[in-house]
Amino acid sequence: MERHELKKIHDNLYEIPKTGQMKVPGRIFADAALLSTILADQSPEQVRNVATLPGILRYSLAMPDMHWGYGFPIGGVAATDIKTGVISPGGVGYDINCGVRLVRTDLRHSDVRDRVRDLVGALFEKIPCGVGSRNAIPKLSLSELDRVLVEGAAWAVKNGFGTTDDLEHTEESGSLPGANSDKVSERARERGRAQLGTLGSGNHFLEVQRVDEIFEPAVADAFGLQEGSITLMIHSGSRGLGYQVCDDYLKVMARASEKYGFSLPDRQLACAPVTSREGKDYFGAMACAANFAWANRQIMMHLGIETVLKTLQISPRNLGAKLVYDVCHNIAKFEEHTVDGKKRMVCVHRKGATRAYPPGHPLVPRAYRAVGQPVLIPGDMGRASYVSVGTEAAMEETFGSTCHGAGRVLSRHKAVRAAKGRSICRELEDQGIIARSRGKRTMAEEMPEAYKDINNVVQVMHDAGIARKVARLKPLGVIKG
Amino acid sequence: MELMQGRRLADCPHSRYTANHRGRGEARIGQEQAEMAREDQIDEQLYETLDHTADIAVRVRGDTLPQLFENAAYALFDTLVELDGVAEAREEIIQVDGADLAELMVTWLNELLFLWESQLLLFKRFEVTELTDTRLTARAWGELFDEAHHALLTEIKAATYHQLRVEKVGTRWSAQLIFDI
Repeated sequence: MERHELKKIHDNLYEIPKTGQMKVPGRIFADAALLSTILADQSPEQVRNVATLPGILRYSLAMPDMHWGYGFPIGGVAATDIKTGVISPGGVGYDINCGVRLVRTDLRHSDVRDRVRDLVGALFEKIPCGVGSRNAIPKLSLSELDRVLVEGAAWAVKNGFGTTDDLEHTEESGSLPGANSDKVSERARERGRAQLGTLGSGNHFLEVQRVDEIFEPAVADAFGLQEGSITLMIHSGSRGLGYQVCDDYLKVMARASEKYGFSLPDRQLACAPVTSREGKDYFGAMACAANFAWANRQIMMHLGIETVLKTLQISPRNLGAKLVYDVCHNIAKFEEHTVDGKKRMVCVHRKGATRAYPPGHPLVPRAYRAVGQPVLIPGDMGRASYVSVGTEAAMEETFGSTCHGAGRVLSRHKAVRAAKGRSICRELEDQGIIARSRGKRTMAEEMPEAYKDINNVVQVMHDAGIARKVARLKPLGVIKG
Repeated sequence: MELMQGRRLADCPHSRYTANHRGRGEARIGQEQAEMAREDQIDEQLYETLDHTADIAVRVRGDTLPQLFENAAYALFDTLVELDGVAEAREEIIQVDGADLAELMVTWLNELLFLWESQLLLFKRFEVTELTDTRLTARAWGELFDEAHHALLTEIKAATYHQLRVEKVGTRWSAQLIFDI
């Protein structure tokens, strides 16, 4: 797409006017510099494709970290009418409820300065990561797995991984209503059964971080974050179980799209009416995968905290670990939003986007209700990650959504080529970051320069008033798949 | 944990490799060509990697349609693991159905990914024995994953339908595939 095809709304927002089969305009949050990166790949065309979905409301939205995905762009948000609109697995992705959680601690950077290497080594041993990682916990029986699919993070807590406080600090309390395990195939179960409590590969990570800068002290205080304190961040999803659910339902949706007479610009956008049997079945199965992902992150967090305690030989009281929040960034959910001045339920697809609810919203945990929902935005392993906070503007403009990460700018192939002859590990170490990975190419593929600068991405949403910056976190130790 | 514990911690594992291996089809191409493929990270005869920001896109070629399916499976596993280390120790018979050639292609590749993730089976050679527009039967040779011998490279979540094309170009067949990473 060319720059002249876009209409500038303000410095951080551009519109793709409604043309052809589009039912609504597209809107891209970006500044001029990020926009030129965005226009270099095919993601703006994907924004346009999403705008053709039956029942889409207001805009096909894209966040500044957007890049070329399959079906929806990564960084895409679309809300559909629950009576006349559709639900699309392509608007969620294969890694259903891929998401992030952040743990705060009472540790200061000075407490761990000389122990980061030990911590990273111990975490790397304890938390299975990498291609095909499995067996973090004993293999589940099928009936036990069914409970995970319905109960989500609560299952993990019940089985000794964490506390009930954690559930309150998890989006949807770690369990999406409407999960129907009958709609999850045997194959999906078989694929995910041994993978609960594992990190996986690609951009997934566990990081030991230091709070580098506070932008809003009162909000940071409410989230339990102080400058110089240590945090743990986990980025992972529903593993093979989610991938299989998506794959299974893409076939179902391909038939459904034909049956309901939808003409779609991309096969990966296959969808069905929210109210149809196919739509309901997909939602039931997707919710199960989402719950699996919440249990997964809950278990990994518990294993991570245990490992820190053991490595540093300190008591839980001295560690003071508490879950700040857990957000999902690949999901479709039924939420209440105001459209044309009226409150109504809509089906919000977030594919590489984070919920960003404002102060006072009933779904924001009580401890944060006065300030707003914590938004966790992981960056690459060299630069930083951010904690932002949701706003009323997000409710008005983006169906309560903001960006989810830095967004890739180099293909994996190009990154590997750029890393040739270099030691990314050593380069990171020179910046004071200890990194470990399983996969041979992971460090090269995931090198910081393969990503957009998280600082710029987060700044766009801050300046647009959608999600305000609260704290920046710098990586000290990283484990990757 | 037995699988992951067997592996020793490698500090900066990437520093131990220099070349990014791609498309090594020793059975089908000569040594010299294989060397070239290694250099260019492209094997013209089997598949080439296309530029895609987030995921991995490949263009696969085959003289015949069955060979196209075989080469696509090869590209999948060549992305996932260093195939040099994988032996043809066991054989599996695989049958999949799809509404058309494109869906058949995605279903075939995702069936192989399913076998990998659920049973830890790695494959390196494929022979399509029966192929219609809607059904594929194939034999696949490979072995069980063994951490001591196999170097895994990239987790592939799925073969996607995005921009999927299976088509005849002149006398040969070609497919463009995007793997979700």
